[in-house]
Amino acid sequence: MSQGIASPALEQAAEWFALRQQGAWSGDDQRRWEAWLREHAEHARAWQRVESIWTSFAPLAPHAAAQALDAAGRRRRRALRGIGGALGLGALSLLGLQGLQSQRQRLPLRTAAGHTGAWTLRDGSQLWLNADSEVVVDVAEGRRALYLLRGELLLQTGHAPAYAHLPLTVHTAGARLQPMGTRFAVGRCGPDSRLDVFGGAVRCLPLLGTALDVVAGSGARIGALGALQPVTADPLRGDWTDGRLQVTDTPLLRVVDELARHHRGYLGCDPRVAALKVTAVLPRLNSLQALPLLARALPIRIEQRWPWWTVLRPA
Amino acid sequence: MAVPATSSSVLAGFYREHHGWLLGWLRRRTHNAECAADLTQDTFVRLLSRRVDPAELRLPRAYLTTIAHALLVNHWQRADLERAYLAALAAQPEPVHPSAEERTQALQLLHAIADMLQGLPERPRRAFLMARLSGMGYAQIGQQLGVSERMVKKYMAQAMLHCLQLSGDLPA
Repeated sequence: MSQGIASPALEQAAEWFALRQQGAWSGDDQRRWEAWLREHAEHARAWQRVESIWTSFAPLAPHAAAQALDAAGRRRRRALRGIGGALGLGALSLLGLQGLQSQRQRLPLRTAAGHTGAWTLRDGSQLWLNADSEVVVDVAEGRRALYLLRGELLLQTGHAPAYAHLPLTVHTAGARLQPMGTRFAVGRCGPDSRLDVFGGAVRCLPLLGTALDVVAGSGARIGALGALQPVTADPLRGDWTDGRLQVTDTPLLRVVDELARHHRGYLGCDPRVAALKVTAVLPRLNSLQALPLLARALPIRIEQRWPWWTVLRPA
Repeated sequence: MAVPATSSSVLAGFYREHHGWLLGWLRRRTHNAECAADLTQDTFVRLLSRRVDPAELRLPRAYLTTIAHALLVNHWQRADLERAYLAALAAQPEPVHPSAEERTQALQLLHAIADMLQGLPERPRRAFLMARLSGMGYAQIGQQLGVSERMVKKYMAQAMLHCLQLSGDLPA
């Protein structure tokens, strides 16, 4: 059966998991949990297995998988009911499930490379999507959640009365984020995510580890399993909604990093010019227009050896 | 345990005698020659893995169709699961079109998860899926299932333990 892990360790791991998912995870719980993890190598191994089970669902489209797996369960029960009517299994109520499905209105929003998008959600929230991004919006009766699948979003939380009592949750790799009256950006970057808060505060509930409240002006890097690393909020990550990149006394390297996100191919910066200060308004999504503007204002030249390889060098 | 020493010639004779009609039986049910051939093969493999001596079978046709039927049901369940997933993907207001590779990987994963959850009672299974795939909290799940939050927590532990106990059999 379970290679090398005694069942008490698995049972305890399952209990810790259920407590942690409940959301009311206190500092004391964290300490007790850490002590449990250290107590025995088997505990750590059991917990690792909990993590891998929980994360194994990640590559599936959550809504489609929920429907398919629900349906699979229903079919199996229907088959059982044939046999089980006499045993009282026939009384299984499926109404709850169907009710849930009819209410479910998940709306995927997507932007192509080179284009940003803006939407107002039912709860009054203002949502912007950066270029090449995708988010699933699940805002309906009783639910208020966003799932960031790709790219980057910026959210200004709304306060439509019907949703006032419902906490909003933004799901990204490694964590759930619960904003408290705020404006913030979340981006995905490979297996990790990054949060930048520009107004109010956001509670970051990592997959593993303790919750962290991130206030305006700060941010956090979020590892795939929820490792949190506090950072200073990067204002550039919050001002892309109108497609302009507005910078004041910003090092060239930062500007290039920002342009590189929407640049086709490699875009780099020679270390000798990286620290040059830039004050400009540039088209954020169009590096082909932005680079000549930079070259006109600064002592740099654009070196393009191949169509997909561009570096800014000293003039 | 003594393995019945079925000689290869007995086996070959048995295979020759039953392969044809079994293939036909499965083809009529699947309407798919390739799939019927696979399932026929699986039926014989299953028979051998049960260490049954074909020479001892009194009703070989009944025995083979029982195995084949179970495999067929499993095949349909898998096909249904795939169809349900792909239909749900396509039914989204902005349909997602994953690449063939992404699709295959997702479907394999979906089967593995469905297998993992099989055998779990309904409510723990639904609680687990609601928490994982719909990101619902315990209070909300409790409302949907008509149980207390405490019960939801119990279901979550039960479902995770179920998966943990199975996961030892899976490659890491």
